[in-house]
Amino acid sequence: MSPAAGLQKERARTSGAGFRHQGQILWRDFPQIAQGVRQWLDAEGVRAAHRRKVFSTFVEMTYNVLHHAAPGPRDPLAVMSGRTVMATVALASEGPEIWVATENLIKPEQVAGLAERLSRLAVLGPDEVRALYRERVAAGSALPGPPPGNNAGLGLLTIARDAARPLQYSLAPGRAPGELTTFSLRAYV
Amino acid sequence: MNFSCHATSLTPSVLLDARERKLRIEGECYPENPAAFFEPLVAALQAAHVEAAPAFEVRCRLTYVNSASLAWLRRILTWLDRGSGGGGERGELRVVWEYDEEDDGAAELAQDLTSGLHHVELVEEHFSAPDR
Repeated sequence: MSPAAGLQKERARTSGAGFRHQGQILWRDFPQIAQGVRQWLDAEGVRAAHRRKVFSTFVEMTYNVLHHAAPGPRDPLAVMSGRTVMATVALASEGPEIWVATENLIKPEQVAGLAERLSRLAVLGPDEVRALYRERVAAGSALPGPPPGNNAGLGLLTIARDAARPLQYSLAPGRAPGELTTFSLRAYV
Repeated sequence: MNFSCHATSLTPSVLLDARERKLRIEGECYPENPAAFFEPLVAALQAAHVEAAPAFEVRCRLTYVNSASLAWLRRILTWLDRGSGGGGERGELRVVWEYDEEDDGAAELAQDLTSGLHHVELVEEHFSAPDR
């Protein structure tokens, strides 16, 4: 599947979304997108613990996109900034749960590590995820050591910890060797 | 040395009163660059040598904190905890965690944050969030 086809497919999958941002995404856009999510959560009447978990999941997943997504090959702004990416971020109510979904492109060299982390999480039960999360938080560096990195591992654990079901994901490589892979992630909270 | 900053849409307000030996952090915390946000606070804490004297209070009312910021908070608490060691008693580092009374998961977050620290007294306090 080509990257463009992957993003079109995600558009179809998220067509019933209550909130959706699709297209170019920049750090400077984030506060506005977050405000849109808050307003949607307000309109849905989501309260307290559920709201915090949904918003947390949205932030972690969107920050993962902003930190790790690869610019698309036809993204003209990518040439200038090197960080501009195209992505989908969507949320919707489904019964008592709310799902949060993202889709973006990643470089082929990112695929193996990401697949390993996700597949390792997929086999853990909720208690195991919580225990691993606590262990990972405690293992963080202390002052005056080096600052923590982007915390991709802790970010995924945070998403998994707050999820009501195992995380759903797909990694669809491009048609030609070396082409970007389309990464889709969905968490039910 | 004291330190303070105002809250933004992505970062909490911070107030360090070194003489009173108190640090208060309040708001939402998911900065784009956690290092840029936390390093000035760390510098102020280190300059005040708050880890060297007994008894320090960290009071947090964080309605939301992302994973990268949590790692920074843990980093600061670990440093404070080690500083209050050397034969010190449990409770020399008091962490007051204020959270929405409807949100038990927020209490668990505080336990995750302080797990394994030796001189921490974790105090959980409820607040009522306004109707949304």
